[in-house]
Amino acid sequence: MFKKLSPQVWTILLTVFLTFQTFAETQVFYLTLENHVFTPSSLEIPANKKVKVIIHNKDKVPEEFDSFELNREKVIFPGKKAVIYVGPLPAGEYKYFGEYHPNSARGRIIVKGDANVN
Amino acid sequence: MLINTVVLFLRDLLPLFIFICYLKATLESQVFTLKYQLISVVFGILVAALLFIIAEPLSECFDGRGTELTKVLLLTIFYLSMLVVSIKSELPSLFKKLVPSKLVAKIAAVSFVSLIAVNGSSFLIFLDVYLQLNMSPLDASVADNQALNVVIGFVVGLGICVSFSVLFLFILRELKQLNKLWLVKTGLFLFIAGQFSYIVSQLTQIDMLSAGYPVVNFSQYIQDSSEYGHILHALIGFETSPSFNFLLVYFISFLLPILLLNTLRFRLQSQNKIAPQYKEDL
Repeated sequence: MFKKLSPQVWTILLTVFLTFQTFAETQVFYLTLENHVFTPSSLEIPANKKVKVIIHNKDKVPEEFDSFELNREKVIFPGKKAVIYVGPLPAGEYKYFGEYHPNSARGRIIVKGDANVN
Repeated sequence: MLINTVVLFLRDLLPLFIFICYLKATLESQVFTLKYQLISVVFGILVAALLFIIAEPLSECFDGRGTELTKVLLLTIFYLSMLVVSIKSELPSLFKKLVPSKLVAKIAAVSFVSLIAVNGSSFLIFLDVYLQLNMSPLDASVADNQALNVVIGFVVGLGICVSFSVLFLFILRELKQLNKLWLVKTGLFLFIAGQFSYIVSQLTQIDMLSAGYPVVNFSQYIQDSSEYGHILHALIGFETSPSFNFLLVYFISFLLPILLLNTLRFRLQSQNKIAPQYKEDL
């Protein structure tokens, strides 16, 4: 049966598969920074998957999202949103903080084995 | 704020102090003169200031990837410049027409300017945030306390960087005197590879490169956030849990100058074009 499919059909099938893979793999999560506090303070993401995290800085000064454990650092300017990609990561807890307000702007990303996390 | 300022000094400015030590130790003082050092620092600060000024619009360019791509570009310039400098400083008879010896100091300066721009712009954003906080109508006592902490952190951080670099330069020069220049060069190549490999985290952050899983995890021995972690990171680009792609880029960028030097040296030897004094070094 598969031998009868032309190369063009195979290409279309592969493209559709890869498109779905891309959409399926990149879940989006949101973080908000207000009064130098990240909300939610703990974000659950699935293990072994790459995810997109959108961080919205509602404060009037820039903040740098920083995490030694995630190996990420990104300056988010006042009133702007920044996107970072995280993972794939093994299950565990990964701390992050705001470089310019490390006492208040703290949080953690909890990577769980269950794929249906929010 | 005090510890944070010291940490930022270690993270952003210590690599610059280490790099100038390597340049002073590996390049002849007649080549990379004080004039070139000062010009590099001034230009580096100017480029860092320019990046700081345009940081916000730059971060929104290329679909929010502008900052990372700029850093990748600057680090690539840094790496390629140092590749040329390393080859030319060891094999001066090579590519005489293409890269005259006089140009080596200028290329080293370009490399230094690129590194200052990458690290300095982050530091300037921190200073700007600190100034904005102190000018905001905050509780006066809190603002004064913060200002004092940042000033103390500034002095402590600068003190650590200066004292570290004085000791480090002394060690490098001693090694050179003991004919252990290969050890100094290995350290320099590890440093260059460590700085250049930062492009991996920048590219994975913006989804232009797959991160892959961490290959090893040294977190039970040393933490990235610790003082030792910062110093090792500045010296050799140490990561607690490096990914496969990071290690790949790290080792390729470390081995490339060594392989190139040995290949070119071999070719020169076989062509008998190498000067007798360089033969003795081999």
